[in-house]
Amino acid sequence: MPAPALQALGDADRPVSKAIRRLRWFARSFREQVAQSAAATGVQFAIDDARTTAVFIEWLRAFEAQKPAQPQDRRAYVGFAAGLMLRALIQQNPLSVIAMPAVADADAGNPAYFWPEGSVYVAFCLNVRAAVLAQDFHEDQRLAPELTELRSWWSFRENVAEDPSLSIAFLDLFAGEDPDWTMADVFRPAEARQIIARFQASKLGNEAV
Amino acid sequence: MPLRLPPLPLPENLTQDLAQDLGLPARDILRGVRRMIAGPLRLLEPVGAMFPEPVQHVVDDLRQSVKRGVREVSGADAAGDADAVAAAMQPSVFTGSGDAVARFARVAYFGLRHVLRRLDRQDLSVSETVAGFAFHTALSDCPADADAASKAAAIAASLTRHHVIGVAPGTGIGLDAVAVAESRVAAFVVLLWLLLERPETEANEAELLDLCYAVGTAQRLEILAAKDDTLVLADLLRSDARMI
Repeated sequence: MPAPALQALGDADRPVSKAIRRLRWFARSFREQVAQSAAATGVQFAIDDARTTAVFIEWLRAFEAQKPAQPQDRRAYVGFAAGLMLRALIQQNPLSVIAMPAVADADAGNPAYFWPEGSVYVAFCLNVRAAVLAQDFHEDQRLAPELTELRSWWSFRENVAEDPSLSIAFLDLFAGEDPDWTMADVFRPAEARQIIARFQASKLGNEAV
Repeated sequence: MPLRLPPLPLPENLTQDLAQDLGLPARDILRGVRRMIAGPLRLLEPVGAMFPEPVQHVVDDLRQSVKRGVREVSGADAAGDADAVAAAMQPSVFTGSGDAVARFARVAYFGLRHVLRRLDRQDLSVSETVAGFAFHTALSDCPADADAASKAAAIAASLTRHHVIGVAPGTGIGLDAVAVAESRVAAFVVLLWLLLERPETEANEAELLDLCYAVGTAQRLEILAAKDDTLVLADLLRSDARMI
């Protein structure tokens, strides 16, 4: 079993997919993520524990509300659930920057300095997603080049400020998956999306005739 | 005319002897003394120098001996905190068997004080004696086969009803609506903490209690709306315990 990037998840006495649904491991692993990001970038954060708890409660409710009954949909739901987590983090915003590193140390083209809080939230959700995929599906997470491109982050920050649900689609984009931009907050397995796309294409074709 | 406080509402089936055996009232009294003497001790410091030499010594000796007493009470409380945390690790507290009343009372004192610190309401006192009585009463009224969450809900409601937290615990005297609400949330938080599943490895009890406090704060409106409805409280406690 590969070790998760976040030690707290590896220390849990149950699989990551179950541990992350318990507040104690969610809070510990989030704190660990913040410490890791702070060490890597020199940005110092303050964590609001009450908001972190609100993130967890909001996320768990959203997670349970759309949890698929079919085992074949579980793999797709891992990515969707990570997106729901990112949405809750962005909405509740439990982090605040208390100090930035000296200008000379900060790379202006690095998203971690462009949007420090958002960068931590994305890293956390991707790490949780990667750990579940590795443990439950023996799969390595692919990361897309957009993850490090400042242009994508401009768009990400601007769009989620208007519609936080788009964070679900953006996380898919960063993880190299096919994002659902139209109904980002509704879980639709890839197969269902393909059927809908074929139906819409054929409807367009009929209208053209 | 001196203010006469109403007597503590003791459950009929819990005798004064039992309370004395548990040593609960003694610790409550010592804590009350500690709270009361903090001010007079500060007053004595400048006053001591005003007296002539022989009297100054007497005042200083008196001050030192009172300070020693305070240290002893505080030391006993620190040891009590460690006991309380150890006792919290034993889920058998909900069976009410053996020394469950004493164990619960210590755990509840530790937990409620912790929550009051978080709420910045250290002006309020907690009574270990009332906690023991409230626990005993709640379990006496609960069916023996009730699950732990149902018992926890009954105990939480009983703690609030018996005013375990207060200006004068055991009575509602001097408690405003905000303090009553905070007391209700605090009781819920402590019972939630006791319900938690604990790993085989040593748990960080203060961390778990803080998580329960965060959840209790997030669900404050639901807890207050439930009031003494133990069915609603039990559902909340059950789902929250699974979540933490």
